[in-house]
Amino acid sequence: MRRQGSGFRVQGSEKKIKVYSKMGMLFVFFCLWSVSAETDIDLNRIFYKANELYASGEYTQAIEEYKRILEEGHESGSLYYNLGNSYFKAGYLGEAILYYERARRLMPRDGDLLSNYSHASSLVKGNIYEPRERWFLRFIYKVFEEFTINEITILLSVIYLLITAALLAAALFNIRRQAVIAVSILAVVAVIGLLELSKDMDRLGKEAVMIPESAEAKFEPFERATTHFTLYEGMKVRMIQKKDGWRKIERPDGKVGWVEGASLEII
Amino acid sequence: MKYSSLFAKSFLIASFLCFFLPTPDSQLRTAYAADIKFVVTVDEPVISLGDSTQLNLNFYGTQDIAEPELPKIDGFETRYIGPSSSVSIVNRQVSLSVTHVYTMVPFEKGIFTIGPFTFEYEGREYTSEPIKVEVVEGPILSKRRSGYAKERSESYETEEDISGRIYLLMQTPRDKVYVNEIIPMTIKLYVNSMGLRDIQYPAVPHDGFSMGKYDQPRQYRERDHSDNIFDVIEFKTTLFGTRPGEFELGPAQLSATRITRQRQRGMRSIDDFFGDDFFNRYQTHPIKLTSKNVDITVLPFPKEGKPDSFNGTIGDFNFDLKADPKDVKVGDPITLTMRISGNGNFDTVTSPVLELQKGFKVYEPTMIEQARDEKVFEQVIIPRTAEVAEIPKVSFSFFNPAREIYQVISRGLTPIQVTKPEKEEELKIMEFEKGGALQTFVQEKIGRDIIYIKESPGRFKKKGSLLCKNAGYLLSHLAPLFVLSLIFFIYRRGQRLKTDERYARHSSAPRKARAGLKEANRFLKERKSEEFYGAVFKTIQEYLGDRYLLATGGITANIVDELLKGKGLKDEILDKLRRIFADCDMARYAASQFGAKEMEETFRSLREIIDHMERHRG
Repeated sequence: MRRQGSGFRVQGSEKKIKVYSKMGMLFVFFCLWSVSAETDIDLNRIFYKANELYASGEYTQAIEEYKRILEEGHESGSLYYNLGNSYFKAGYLGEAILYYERARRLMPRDGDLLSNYSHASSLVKGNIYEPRERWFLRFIYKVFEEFTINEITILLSVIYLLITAALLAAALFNIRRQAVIAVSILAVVAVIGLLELSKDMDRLGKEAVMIPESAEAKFEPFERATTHFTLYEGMKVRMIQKKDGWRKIERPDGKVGWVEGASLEII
Repeated sequence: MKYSSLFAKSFLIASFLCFFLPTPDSQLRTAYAADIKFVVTVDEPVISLGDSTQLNLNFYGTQDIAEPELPKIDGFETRYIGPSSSVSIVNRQVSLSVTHVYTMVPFEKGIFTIGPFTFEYEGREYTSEPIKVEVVEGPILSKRRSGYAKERSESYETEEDISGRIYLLMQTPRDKVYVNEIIPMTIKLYVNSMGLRDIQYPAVPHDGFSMGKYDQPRQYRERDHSDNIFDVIEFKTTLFGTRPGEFELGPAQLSATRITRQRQRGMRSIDDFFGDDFFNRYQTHPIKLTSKNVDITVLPFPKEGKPDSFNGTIGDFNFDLKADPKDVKVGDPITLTMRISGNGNFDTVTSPVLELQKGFKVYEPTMIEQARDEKVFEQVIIPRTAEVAEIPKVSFSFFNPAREIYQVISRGLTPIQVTKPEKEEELKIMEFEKGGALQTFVQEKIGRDIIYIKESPGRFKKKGSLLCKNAGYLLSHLAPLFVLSLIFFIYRRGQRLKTDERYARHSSAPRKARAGLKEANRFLKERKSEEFYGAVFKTIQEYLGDRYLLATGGITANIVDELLKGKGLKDEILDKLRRIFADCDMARYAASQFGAKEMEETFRSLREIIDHMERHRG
């Protein structure tokens, strides 16, 4: 708008302000983008350097390099996989299995990872009988084991959208019967997906792997308590309770005991 | 009369001369057998309806009788209270007994027969005699009740009253022990010239310790420093400290019943000798004895010299190892039998540890046998290759409290012979070819190691970021819901507009009115009075027609009086409406009469009318 008496000068200033503001926003955006791109380039550089160290047999140094990426607050399935390999080659079975487990959460369908994980697990001492669940539960777990938590989340979102669309179609096109069938099927899948998601979320922060070669699981959280059973390097357990420096854990076969917290690392 | 025959009375008189212990004045019938006596008694032979009495099944000579299955007793409701074990000293003879006590509540009056009861013990049957219980209505008059009941002392005698003749002593061999180290504890009851019955096992507070069961009590005689002879009952058990610290064990407490004889004033008749009064000359006094405390220090395991494999085992043990078989093929199991024997706390004994496990698949050890002074474990190992020539050392570590050192006993190396299978295990896979011929081929042997690393890092993401915890992502799910609701609403409105004419016209009235006003305003600005009033007339006609579902073309000024008057509109608005209709009629024929001022006035009025009617939709 034109102001009486001030005329063209005011209009020109406003225009400049608008131009400068836009340029400033562009600049900030460019900086942010650059920083992010720069960060990605740095991480990749570190990753490749670690790979070279692994190839030359410098496994410990490769581990240090890979861990730098983790310290930056970033992760990827391939990073954890390579860490698992490095620890395995360096002779640390417990850490190898730990990082394979972490990689499984990000790339559960990777064939190489599954093979290495299976091989490493076969070397764990102390054969434990794992009771099998009912067949339909095994089937469900098998299906959803192939998905990460984020993938299950997206799948549930898609189901939600499909249910919404089905309801809309039922309202708009008078196809109630078909919509009811579709919604029912989708709802069942959604419920199963939600159960699996909640199971996976529940496991977060509770599953752990034994790191030292062996550790005694006691009846009580005291050093001089009677030993119940022995845990070996690489065994996966579920944490139930914490008390002082002790952790109450459950083995896959259901046996429960107390171990020192330093023996475990959470997946 | 309580005793059925002279013979029984004579027997009892003779028994009285031998035993210091009176029989209580309750009905009793005994079944005698070698070493075991089965006596059935009731506390009150005569009770009122509404009262209760106790039925006692007394087993003398043993404490090894579990709760007998009591058959239904006519006229009574019975309830099991529990057992009571005791040790008695009668004429310096110690005997064990257990009494199973039942409460009996009568629900009708009469004279009832209780029993006979039969029980079986070690292949022999013991049967009691029946006894009679009378249930009367109303309170029981003061009868000759048992001297035992009448003269029973209500309060415990203190140790001061009978000190010097009876006391309790608690002892342990040492006052310093290690954690988990088992030590014996002895509690002795000293009795001098006193009758006792119903002696209970001592109760000992033992915070910080785990106590075992008592052994069978032992009885003997002892002289004290004043040459007094004491009868001693010795109770022995074991205990061990569960945590380090200084503790006060006890005091031990023991309950019993003291029996004293009342002086007789002289017999009134021969019947007094044979009658109940003879047996009412004894008094019973419950007593409670307390020992002194025992201070015990529980020491922790020393830190120096503790082996890595030590896990709390304490004692003095031996360890034997046996491996069988020693000549196996690759993949065949070898069983290690590990026997731990000696003295100590076997609860703390765990399986010995195989030191190196390379070359073997090792299974977890299991305990297969445990006795008082021995524990046996078995562990299965399987040699993986033929290069394995010996079983590694197996070691067992424990703390020896007597020597105050840790000891590690190692057994092995045990030489074994491991051979490859005669024929390499080849997995033959059979496959049917098309055409029906069965083909076999040997599966290829494949090596096993991990697959190489990933060359590419993939896509990095923030550690721990999860979509299901992202608020923005979750909130975005509201959008489809919103869109669905909007589409549904629009669709339903569209359908209604198509099918419901009234709704359609009513809904479109304001929109059309705004369009009409806009057009009229345009003509107003252009000062086209004829077109202006035409637009005004059309607008008001359509608006009223849509509002009140009337044919548009038939709407005239008459509608103001015919319809609108009763719609609650203001008179001012109705006047304005009449004016507009009149002006529009006039403008049809003499539009030039209306100047800008008149047109503006008309436009203002039209707007006011429409605004007012929109505000008062009804």
